[in-house]
Amino acid sequence: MAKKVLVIDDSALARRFIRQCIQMTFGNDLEFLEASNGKDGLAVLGVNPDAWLVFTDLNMPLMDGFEFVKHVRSSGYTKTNVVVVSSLQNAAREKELLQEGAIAVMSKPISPIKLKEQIEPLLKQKGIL
Amino acid sequence: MKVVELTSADVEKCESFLKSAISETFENLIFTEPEFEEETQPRSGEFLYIDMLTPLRARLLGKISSNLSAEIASTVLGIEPEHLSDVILNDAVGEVLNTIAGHFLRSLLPDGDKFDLGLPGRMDSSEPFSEELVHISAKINDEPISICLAWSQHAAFTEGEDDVVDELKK
Repeated sequence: MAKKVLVIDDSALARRFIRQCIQMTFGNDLEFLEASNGKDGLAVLGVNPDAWLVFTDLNMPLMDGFEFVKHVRSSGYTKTNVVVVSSLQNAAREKELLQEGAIAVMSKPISPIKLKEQIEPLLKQKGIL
Repeated sequence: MKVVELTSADVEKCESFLKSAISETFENLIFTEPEFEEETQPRSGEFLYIDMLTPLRARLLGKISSNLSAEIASTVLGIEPEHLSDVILNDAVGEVLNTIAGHFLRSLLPDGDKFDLGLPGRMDSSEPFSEELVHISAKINDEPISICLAWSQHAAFTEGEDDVVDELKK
């Protein structure tokens, strides 16, 4: 059974690019789900609580990535690993996001190499890969 | 709100940071450096913008030719330009502006300071907006781009951000 990956970004270009990078890193046995903001992302997660990995943008309409991460944590999606992808990289914001439950914060543009270096070891450490 | 009178040296510094941010963005996206032009092109037509919300209040406006938007999206996604939708092309410009704004603010602000950006929007160049502080015209692979940084009459910073002002004045 394909593992579910949710990609949340208000940019269709970014969603498509992130999908490509994930496929190149983690293979093709994945089912992609998409949402254009945190609120829709939560709705998608609500009917797909088995989503293994979520990549979310930070700056989005309706609900931003920071609120999304907080909601995921408070809603008890303990098996969902959230990675925040943002162009607003700075250490203080990154610390807050990690405290709220994100497993990693990546700066745009992401690449398969960055995923391999930053995300794969984290997932291996958690025994997911 | 803290309001600061900017000197010409401050504006030059902003221009330098903005040029570096533009270069870094395009080098990362399409591996090409912009050729900055001495003469800026007059603003015309529709611009995409992103507001910088905290700690600096400013608006970054950008105009990128459709050919260049297509090249960016095509390079990023690895597919032929003719297969790209208008939505994807518009998003490409938004991503470029977002990334330029991020690089610019990281250069301007002290290490570790938080900043916030608004969402991309559109405006016509005939619409009134804040005083233009820096206007940069460049060509990338012979395609024109125009990037403006607009502040209100004076630079405005949210409360408690004196260190940002100090950084700018260094």
